[in-house]
Amino acid sequence: MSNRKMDQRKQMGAEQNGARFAATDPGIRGSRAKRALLTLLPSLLLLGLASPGYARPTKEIAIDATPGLSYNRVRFKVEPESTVKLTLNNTDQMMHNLVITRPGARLKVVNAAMRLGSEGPQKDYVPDLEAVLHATPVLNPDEEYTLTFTAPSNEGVYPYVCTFPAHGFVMYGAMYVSTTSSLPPLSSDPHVPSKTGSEGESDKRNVHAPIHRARVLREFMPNCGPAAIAVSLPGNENYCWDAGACRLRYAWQGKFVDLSYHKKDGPAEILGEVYYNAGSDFPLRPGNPSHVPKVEFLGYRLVDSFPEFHYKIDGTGVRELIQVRPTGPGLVRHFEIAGADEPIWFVGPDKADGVSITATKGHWEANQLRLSPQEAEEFAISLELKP
Amino acid sequence: MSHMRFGNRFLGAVCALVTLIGVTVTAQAADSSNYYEIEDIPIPKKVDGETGGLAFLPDGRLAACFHRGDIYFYDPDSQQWRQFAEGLHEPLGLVALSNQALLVMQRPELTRVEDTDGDGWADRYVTLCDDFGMSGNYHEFGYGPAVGPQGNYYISLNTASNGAGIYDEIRGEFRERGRPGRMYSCVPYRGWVLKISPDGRMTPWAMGFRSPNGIGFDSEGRLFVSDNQGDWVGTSKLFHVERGRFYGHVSSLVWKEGFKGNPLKRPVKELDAMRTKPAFLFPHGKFANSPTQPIPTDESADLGPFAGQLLIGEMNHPRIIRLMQDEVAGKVQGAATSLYEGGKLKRGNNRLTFGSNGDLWIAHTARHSGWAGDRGIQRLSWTGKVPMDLLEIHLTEDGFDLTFTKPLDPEIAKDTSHYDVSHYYYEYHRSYGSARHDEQSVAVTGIELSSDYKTASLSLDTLKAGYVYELNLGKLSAQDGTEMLNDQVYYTLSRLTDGSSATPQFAPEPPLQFHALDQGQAEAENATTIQVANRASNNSGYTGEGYVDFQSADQDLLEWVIDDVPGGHYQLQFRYAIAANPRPLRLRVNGNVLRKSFVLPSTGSWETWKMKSVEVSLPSGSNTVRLEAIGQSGPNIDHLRLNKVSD
Repeated sequence: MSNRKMDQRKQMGAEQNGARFAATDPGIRGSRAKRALLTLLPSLLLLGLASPGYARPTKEIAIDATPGLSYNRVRFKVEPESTVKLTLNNTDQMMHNLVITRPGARLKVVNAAMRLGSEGPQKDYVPDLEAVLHATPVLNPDEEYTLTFTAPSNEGVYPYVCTFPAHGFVMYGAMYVSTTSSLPPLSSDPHVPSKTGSEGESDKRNVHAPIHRARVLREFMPNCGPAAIAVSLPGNENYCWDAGACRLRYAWQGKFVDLSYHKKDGPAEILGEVYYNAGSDFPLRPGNPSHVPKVEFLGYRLVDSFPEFHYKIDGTGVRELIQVRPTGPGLVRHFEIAGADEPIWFVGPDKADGVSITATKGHWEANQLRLSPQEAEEFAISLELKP
Repeated sequence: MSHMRFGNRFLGAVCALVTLIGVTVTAQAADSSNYYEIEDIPIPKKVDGETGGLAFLPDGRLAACFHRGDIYFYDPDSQQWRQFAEGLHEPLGLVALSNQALLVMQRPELTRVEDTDGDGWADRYVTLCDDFGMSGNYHEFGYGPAVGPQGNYYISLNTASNGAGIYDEIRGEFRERGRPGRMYSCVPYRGWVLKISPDGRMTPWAMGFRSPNGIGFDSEGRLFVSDNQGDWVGTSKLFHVERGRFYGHVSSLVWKEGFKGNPLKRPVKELDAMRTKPAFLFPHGKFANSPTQPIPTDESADLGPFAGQLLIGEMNHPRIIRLMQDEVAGKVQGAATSLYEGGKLKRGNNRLTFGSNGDLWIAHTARHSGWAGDRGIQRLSWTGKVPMDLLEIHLTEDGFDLTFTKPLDPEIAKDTSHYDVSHYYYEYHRSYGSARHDEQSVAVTGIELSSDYKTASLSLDTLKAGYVYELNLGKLSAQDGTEMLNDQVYYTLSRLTDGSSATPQFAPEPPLQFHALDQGQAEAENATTIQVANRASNNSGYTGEGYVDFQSADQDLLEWVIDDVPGGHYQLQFRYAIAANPRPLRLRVNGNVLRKSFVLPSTGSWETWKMKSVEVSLPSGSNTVRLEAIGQSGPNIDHLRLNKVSD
């Protein structure tokens, strides 16, 4: 048993020069030998050229193919003629490879790969060009592959790129072959993609609030259900309203939100400080303060640019318009609940440090406000930020 | 002239050679731009041109929505843009209801967006339908609406991706059994098409979709939905969608009434038998990687001879695909070729609509999270010149009838060597994508030309259901010397003319086996997935039936999917044996690498078993533990224990 294992490991002596391959799809196993060959050939050629007897340490580089047509590492430096062990791990949902080209040959290789047409898949989208130095096979999601090669003897910037059709226009990086230690600043390095993926639109996702009107932005927001609505109001007031739960979630002061590219579909980042958190319970209770109603979101209309949310609680229509407090920091929530046949309770959060909550109508019992059906027809709750 | 059948290949080849020499002199270059013009439409300055939807208003203005949430109107006469709305959550489709109102599909809902006071700025956002779940996973896109013949709307909902998790707080019911899998459906109707009446009532319509970014009706009122290569989708496809049917991606079955349990546990053969086969397959890498929106070339289109067909965009290549339908024994199937490729056309051909003069308007996208396209809007217009192309294809008892836009050069067309035909099939399985199997050339055994030389009837050596037939017609040309504009044709043969529709024979993957942990212990030999590694029992001392013996340096994989784990902090204990030097493995839990190099120290002999532990927090429900060889094979693994340490 153990002997057989040892033999197999010896046979895999190619490990020194490449081929580490975690296949998860049985369909591609058959082409592994070809893939290994593809990798080995250029490496062996270069090894042959390298001057004997002078060993440099092996440089190990790990690069992930990541969502958004990108490599997580967009450049690295190696010394000329050093041994490089480069491992590509495909963490994306799409297929990717990594091809190292001669300096300045990235687009030439990418376009030649596109022209392979129906031959592309068999060739792992690697064109037969002298400009191609090393290439991994195309990796399925979750696959990993290690290329081992000797770095070129000529100093220079050697692009690496995914040649899967169309990826190479934005998915690339740079191998610096150099004996000096410094690289240009990343932000001004012309050999790496701009941070935004393409066409340099760096700060576009920093959504600025207009000064004189409200702005509605439906986006994934932190600490909210997925159907979130972020709203910025004049005076640096902002709030997050949950269109799934039909309620205000929190309010913050400061700038609006950052939706930068690198956030990769995570929630937006709040550019300010949250001063009010509405707690976890639905606040409007028809009939009984412990009765949580069934809610239904109906949409919103803009009233002088401010959204007025429309929803139903147990079938009764509610309108809620949130404005800036006219006399100081904080918000006013204007409610209209027409046709209620029972009292409506407004149940505040257990605690709202730093905010005083007052109502234009009804009677408070601890943190619960009781409104008669007539009072509920039109009332307001004020959230005043304490100085 | 009666139909001719030519058997003499030699004579045919000589004729063809002679004619080919003639062709090189007189031929018109086969280039899409000789027949169609492409014009770039400038996009509004403030948007980045990731275009999610495109529709014309009754007054002739164009409405476009952009991924980042804005809607603009474009006046083709003045060439001016004006913003109409902002703040939508990734809108990926729209239809015009009037000059002031649109219906927009955004992530959380189908919304009527309206300007009620006539100032040109939308002020009313009415939720027409939000009766579906959202887990917070970024991959849960919503597509559509397509407007049906009765005025109902149809939307399609993407599944979630295991490349990202879900929110603590979700919208809609959560079903744990929909959570495992590469693309998953743990909230209602992910992977479904829904019908929504004009007053907002929702009916679940059809299921089995992975990433259905294209939805539309043909000119006969049939609904078509596209899907993208991935798990359960061997290559990208277009389905003819009918109520209640299942189209192959299994996660959505969780929301089918009466369907019990986790669909990943069902035998693949059973799932295969349940599904409805696609109308069109798009060979991945060869032709199309991400087909998008289908649109009929109905009376509003003016693209030359191709009336009454379907077009569909392609994301990764500069290509507009043309589809030729062929109903065979009641099954809608047919062939794909190009309408236009290359030239000035960009990639990212995501949404299509026809303008008032029959031009095709194309919305491009290259979504920031990685769709391999381009940005902006283009207009494609026909020059009036008729290209030499395949116009129709029909399956016959022994081959295909090919009808062309112009009479064929008969000397070339009657030679069987001028038709390259091959076939292959794609497997239906859980793994990502599929190789092309049984790829073989198919001999053309005979040709008959119609008296007008427009139709060639091919007889083929074999015809098999379940295969794609790839035809290369590039050697043909028209009688007037025009070369074929598009030479590649891909016919999806789901059903033969006698009504039979056998699935190609292949050994289906075993279903995933899930463990109900037996007193916290899962034997390796019964693991959910054992790849390359062998089950063995020749070294004593194991528990259960045996153990798993790692075989190769780097390909082995051992994975347990363990159901119904109460959430908490756990100690994972591996029982193993290894005689000499350790052979580290990579340990993944729920896909994440927990130990890059998990060292199981020598036990001194193959019959001496020891435990090695690692601690990890596990969410409640289904959990996956995986050991992977990373270059040095691995030890023998006996079992895995889960010991709960704390909540």
